[in-house]
Amino acid sequence: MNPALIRSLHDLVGKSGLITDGTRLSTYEFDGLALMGRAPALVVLPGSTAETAGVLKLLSEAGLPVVPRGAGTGLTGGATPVEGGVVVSLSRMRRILELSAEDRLARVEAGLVNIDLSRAAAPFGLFYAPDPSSQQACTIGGNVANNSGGPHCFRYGCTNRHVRGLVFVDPSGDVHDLNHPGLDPAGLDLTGFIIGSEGTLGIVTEVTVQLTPLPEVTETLLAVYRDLDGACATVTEAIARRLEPSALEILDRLTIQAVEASVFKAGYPVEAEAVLLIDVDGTAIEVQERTAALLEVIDDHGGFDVRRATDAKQRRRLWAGRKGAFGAMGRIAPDLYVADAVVPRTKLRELVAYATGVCRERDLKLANVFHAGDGNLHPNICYDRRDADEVRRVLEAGELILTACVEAGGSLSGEHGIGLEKRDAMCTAFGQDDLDVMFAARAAFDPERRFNPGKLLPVRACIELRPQPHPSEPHPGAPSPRRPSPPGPAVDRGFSA
Amino acid sequence: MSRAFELCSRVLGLSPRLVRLPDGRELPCVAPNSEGQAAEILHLARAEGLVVLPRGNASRLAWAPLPKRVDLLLSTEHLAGVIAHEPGDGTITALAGTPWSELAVTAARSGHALAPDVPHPASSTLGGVLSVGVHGPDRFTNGPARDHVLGMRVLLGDGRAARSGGRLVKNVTGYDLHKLFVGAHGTLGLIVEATLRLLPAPAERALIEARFTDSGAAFAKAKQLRDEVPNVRTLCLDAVNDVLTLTLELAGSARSVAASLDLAAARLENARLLSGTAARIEAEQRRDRTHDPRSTFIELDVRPSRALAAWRQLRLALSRIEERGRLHAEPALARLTAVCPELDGDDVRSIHSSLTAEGLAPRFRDLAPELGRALNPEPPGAKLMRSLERALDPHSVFPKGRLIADRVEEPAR
Repeated sequence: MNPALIRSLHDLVGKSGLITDGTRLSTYEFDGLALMGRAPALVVLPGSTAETAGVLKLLSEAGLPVVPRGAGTGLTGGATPVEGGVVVSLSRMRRILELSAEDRLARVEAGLVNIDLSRAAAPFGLFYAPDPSSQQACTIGGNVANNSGGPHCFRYGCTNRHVRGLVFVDPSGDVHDLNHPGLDPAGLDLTGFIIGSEGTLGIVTEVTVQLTPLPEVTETLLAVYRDLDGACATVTEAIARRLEPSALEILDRLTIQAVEASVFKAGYPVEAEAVLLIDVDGTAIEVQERTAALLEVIDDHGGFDVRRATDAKQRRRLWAGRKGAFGAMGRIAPDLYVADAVVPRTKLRELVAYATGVCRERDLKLANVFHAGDGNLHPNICYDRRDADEVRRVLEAGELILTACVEAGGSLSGEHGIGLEKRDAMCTAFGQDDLDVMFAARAAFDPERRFNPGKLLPVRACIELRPQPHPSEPHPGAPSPRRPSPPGPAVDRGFSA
Repeated sequence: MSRAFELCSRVLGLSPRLVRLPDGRELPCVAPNSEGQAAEILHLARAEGLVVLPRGNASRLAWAPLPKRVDLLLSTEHLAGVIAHEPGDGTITALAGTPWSELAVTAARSGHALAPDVPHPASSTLGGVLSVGVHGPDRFTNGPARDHVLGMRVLLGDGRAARSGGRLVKNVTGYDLHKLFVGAHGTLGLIVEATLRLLPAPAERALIEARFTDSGAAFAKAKQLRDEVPNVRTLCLDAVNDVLTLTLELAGSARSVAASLDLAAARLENARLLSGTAARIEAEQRRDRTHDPRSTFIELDVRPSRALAAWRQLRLALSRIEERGRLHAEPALARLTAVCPELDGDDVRSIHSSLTAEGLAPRFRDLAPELGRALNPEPPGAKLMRSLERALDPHSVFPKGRLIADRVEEPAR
């Protein structure tokens, strides 16, 4: 790394804002996707929007690739460093700049930890609705990058439903304050587009979010099932009957056993094949009515031994197993491949059964814990990364499950994003024309392709990755013989990840 | 005969008709019968250097300033119909020209509702609603249109189709290009198909209203109702002369609406109550009055904590002109609207200057294009928006200068 650049960065962010030594750099080698990683050349931790802008200007002049990073809890390698690149971490920017209870909004720095916002809002009877499982550690900026969800986004929506404005620094270091007084964006909805862009367009430094009133009553139900299929069928019918709980989560037998053997022990019956965890919130009357209807559906599909809790302490106990599920899986195997796919909610049963079959055939341990209400599957495959053959079987199973979900009308990711892990699979979900337009939009922000290169979009043309044409191309309406060149190059010639 | 007219007839065998824009211009309007035909038109437009303005039912075409140059209107009237209604999954997919009312009727068959509750749904199309980014009186509960769009298929300026999102209620695969097309007023491409999330239809709706003569008391009551009464679907204030009517619409299950109605009635003196069909009809009439398509209207968004002060400023600004218009406020959202049937340019300038002098940022809808361009401020992020316009429509087949000032007077060829 150029010493003059290091000096300039040091002048800007100070000693505490710069990491150059190998040992500390190695802690930034990967995020939650441990399969792929490499140390960055440098880590910069700006303390403000102005510092971020200054840092990005210097890095732009130096032509260096940049990888933005929140807490590094992402699961698809979105924060994995690139060769010779600089990680810009927002973890020093964690202030709540404003919290207005009357306006039900908060303006926060991007490095604020998700749960800290809800804690700060609670005394005013408000909370921040997106609640990823990692909310004790993940940052609001990271949530913006991934349009993060969580169990309760079933009712309240993912991050994009709750963000009102952003302060955004583009790759050249220019600051754009996208906060505006209007309810709707004046002009194009840049904020909506930047949310979920996985750090490929620039860096978000401040976020203005809507806060939601805490519900009057929340009741948690835990139903036990003798088979996973019954739990899935309950969810499908609850959706069809428009029963609208605020969360609908399923845990399968292996997950239950792992949880019950761990410090997250929640009293789930270890002999059960599945448990369904439901939150119902609203007024006392609404909760009573919806709960009664849900109990009928549970009963119809073989659910039994229903435990109910409205008291906060008891509810926390029922949820403890779900919240600790990922941590508990360390008891099954040293490594965990956390898959993330979405299926139409009418097809939950068949795809969960398919995933189970795929893993069984490959002698892999599959633990299902997922946001069933949204059709968001998380088939988690437990493995040991030192076993090369097991790694191969894990990746093969992951790809088969993902392909089946897409073929059933689903998608590659419900909340973890595409990152490094699924970028090539984008060709199974989209045609080359769709991807070309995405490339063009990306280039509008980052023409040099320095921001999180090699993430989100495939680095090679789909025809190289997928010899069979995508079903959606060529489009019957497209006048292909006279088709002009795409607006942006189809192949990312950026830095290899 | 214009070049556009001739090309559509001669090359494509379509018969364009002449249509008058709200600013008086007469233009050829062509209505393709298929997506393929629409793609051919765009391909031809690009080759011939024509500027094409997408058109739904034209009821909100002038909500963003009309472009200086348009050669051809491309109507989606024949690109209509529901493609997939999936009650079990809570989604509906339709072509852009589908009337919003048809979508709503289809959704209702499975006990679902659409959001937003669009004013004048029979004369609004799916593509038009999304392109304009319309919102309805249910916004406080259900949010704006963009929150309900799950995926989209668009045609770009060279006739290529592009897709983003999908037909799933949760999905973070790839860039959300559809977010850019909602509210883009046809400047980036032609929306041909979209998927929306459906909401459970409320079993019961009820309306309660009370009158106030003091705006301070009315806004304070609105805040109290927002904070203390559940099941609020709409909370609004309407001013006629010096009387303010506060209306609260409740929606939910029959028992919960009844309980909320009791809570609201206990907080309002001399309240008038409506329930069942009467409440629904009254709510629909009120909804349609908020968006009178023949009027200029002024939108003023502030934070809820500043709503009363802004309301007073808006009344003051309007008191300086002869035609005071109709004032409408959604205090929980802090959107204030003035619907003014007969404003001339001087009136508009006067209102604009008195509001901006107070630090407020009014937006004007349905103004003459030049006035609209002059008074609606450059939005934050305009530089990035221009980059996106160039990236997605490099040949300026779709009109520019509607949301942000033109980067060049004539489209680059």
